[in-house]
Amino acid sequence: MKNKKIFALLASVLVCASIFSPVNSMAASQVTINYWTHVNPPANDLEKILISRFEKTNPNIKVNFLPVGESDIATKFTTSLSGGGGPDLINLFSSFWPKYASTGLLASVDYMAYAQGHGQKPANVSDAKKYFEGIYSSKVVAGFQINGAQMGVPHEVSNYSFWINSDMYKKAGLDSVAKFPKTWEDVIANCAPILKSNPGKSAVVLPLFNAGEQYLVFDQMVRSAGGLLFSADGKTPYLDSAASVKALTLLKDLVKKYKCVIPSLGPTASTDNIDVFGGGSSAMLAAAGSWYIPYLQDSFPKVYKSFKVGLLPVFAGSKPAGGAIYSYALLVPKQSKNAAAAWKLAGFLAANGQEFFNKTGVWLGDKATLASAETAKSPQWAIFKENLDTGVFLPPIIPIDAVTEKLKAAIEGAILGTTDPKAALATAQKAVLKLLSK
Amino acid sequence: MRKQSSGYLSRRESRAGILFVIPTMILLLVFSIAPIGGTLGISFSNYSLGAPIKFAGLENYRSVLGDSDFRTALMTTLKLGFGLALPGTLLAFLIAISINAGQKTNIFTSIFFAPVIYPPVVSAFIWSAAYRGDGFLNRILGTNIEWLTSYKWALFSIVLVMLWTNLGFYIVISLTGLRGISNTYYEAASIDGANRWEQLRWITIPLIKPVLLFIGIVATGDALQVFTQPYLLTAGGPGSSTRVLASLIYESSFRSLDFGASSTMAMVLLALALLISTIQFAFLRPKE
Repeated sequence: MKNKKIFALLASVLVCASIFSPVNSMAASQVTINYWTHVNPPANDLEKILISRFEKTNPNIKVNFLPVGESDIATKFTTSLSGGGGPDLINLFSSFWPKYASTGLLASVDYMAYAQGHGQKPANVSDAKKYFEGIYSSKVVAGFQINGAQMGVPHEVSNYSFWINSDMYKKAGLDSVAKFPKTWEDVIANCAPILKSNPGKSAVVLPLFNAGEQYLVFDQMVRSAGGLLFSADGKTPYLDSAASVKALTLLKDLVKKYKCVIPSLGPTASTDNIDVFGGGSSAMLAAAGSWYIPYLQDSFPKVYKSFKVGLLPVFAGSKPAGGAIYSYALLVPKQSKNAAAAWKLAGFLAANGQEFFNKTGVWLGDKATLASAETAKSPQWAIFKENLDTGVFLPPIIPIDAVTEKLKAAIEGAILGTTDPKAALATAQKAVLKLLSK
Repeated sequence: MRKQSSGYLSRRESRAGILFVIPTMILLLVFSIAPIGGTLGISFSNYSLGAPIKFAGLENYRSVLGDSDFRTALMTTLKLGFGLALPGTLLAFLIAISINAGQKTNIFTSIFFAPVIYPPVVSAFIWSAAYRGDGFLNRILGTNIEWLTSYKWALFSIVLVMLWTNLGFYIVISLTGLRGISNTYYEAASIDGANRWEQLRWITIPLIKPVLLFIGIVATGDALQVFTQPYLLTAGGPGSSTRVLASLIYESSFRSLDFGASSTMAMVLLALALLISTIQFAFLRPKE
């Protein structure tokens, strides 16, 4: 009986020892984080390499990497949040995050973990915050704040440039350097010879059936006409301003008066204007950033050999107006149980800005890559840099989808329908005011 | 006297019957009735993802029914419903009669049925290419129609895709109905001197009416729930001319995170589907 008691006691001690042993405590500190990003083959390939490096330097963190289609990622994220699951870290288009942040679904940046991901050991949060803010320009940092709180880490910062197919220009007897359009008036002047010498093709392709892309293109046009689409805080719309009407009238004229755009050649809702240009169906494109070069090279080698890129056209006599700056943001949902590890991975990915740029043409928004000698060697970088310098970061609009849908309806009503631009924008302004007042 | 003879089941048989029905009832409860009940509950709240739920009474219904976007999407959905249900039923019936009268029925049925098994995304891509200004549809027709980019044609183009996708299924149902009609009726009619038209008018149509009703209801249901084709072909454009209720529900919930409003729209859609089905039943019910 006594032996039995001693045996039971020993067994209990052994069980307790095994539970609290260092081996098990190490196992308990093992975390697995889920990282979701949008599908972009060159960037996804690089991220796989970076993640395996991260796992080597952080053996207690395992990363499940999941690229999700661009059109589905926000929906899947919303669905997973409502089910209590989802990623620990997500790379999401910047227009989406304000609505998640406004309902308290996102965690603010953990500066300490981010700095650790960069290989830093800051003494306190204040130092870590300073380190974070030192990496990016104030314009970029401000693009991810809401009510003073930093909600995301900038990722894939870009804005649209203007692209031409020099073969189609040549065929039209136009010198692709001397006749590269600097103003919208230049674009119109180039249309006629291009259309004549390239029958069945479009001179310019515009984003259609895509509210986000239409918003980005239209925003730059309005700024070049001397106005703004929204106030910097995103709370006041100016859709019915004289500048907005001027911009939409030009878009309408491009389609209806000058026939520079043949909408029926695409894009549709399931194709993109970059594919119409890449496929050689259009000589000019206004909706692609620096990331487009590797995409062209992979998917459209013929047009890749003949493209030329420059600043977006402006209205004659106005100052240069770079494209609306958009970005992706690395975000951590508030319900993540591994937020610190997720921010650490965000920091680690962000620390490889130069490699991202070199291999994928994507700029992560950091000052170091922007100013490096290596970046300067990139043949088109001067153009992209000037475009970014003169661009404006998109304001944080919470009901962004509903707002851009109203803008899309106004643009399509004018360019594909028979609505007068002024009336279309007045209707959109009224609807957007109602949405923003909710 | 045994109970069965008076049309009643014995207690033992009743119990066995209930046991057989229970699994189906559980599935129905879990996957249909409970979600509908949940959606109905949410429609009376201001539930937005991440925010606490508050009872909103009829506010969502007032707001949704007064919203011009909702009314436009509702009209578009109804147009699609009529555009699919009427021609779909009629075409399926006529094609089924032709197939049934001819030979090699299986080959023709397979040809018409093939689009049913294509994933909707594949169909959308095929039609997306066909509808291009320089696509094969304009080339065959010798036209220059802006199928997807003009307000005049976009909705019709989507109806056409839906017809192409669903017609095979409706034809198979019609064929089954036609083959279910006993030949003795036709033989008797022939002896009485009825010609083909008279046989169709007085035998085929009255006897296949319930099948046509079923196709009409299924087609209306297909149209009321349609999402993929407008989403992939036009994203609701140009403007909002092809935006259907299902798209609006999707945008309201998964993009704007307003689950209260989207549940309300879903309930209105359900009520509409029930109303249309009831009317269809009333019109096509076999007369005594």
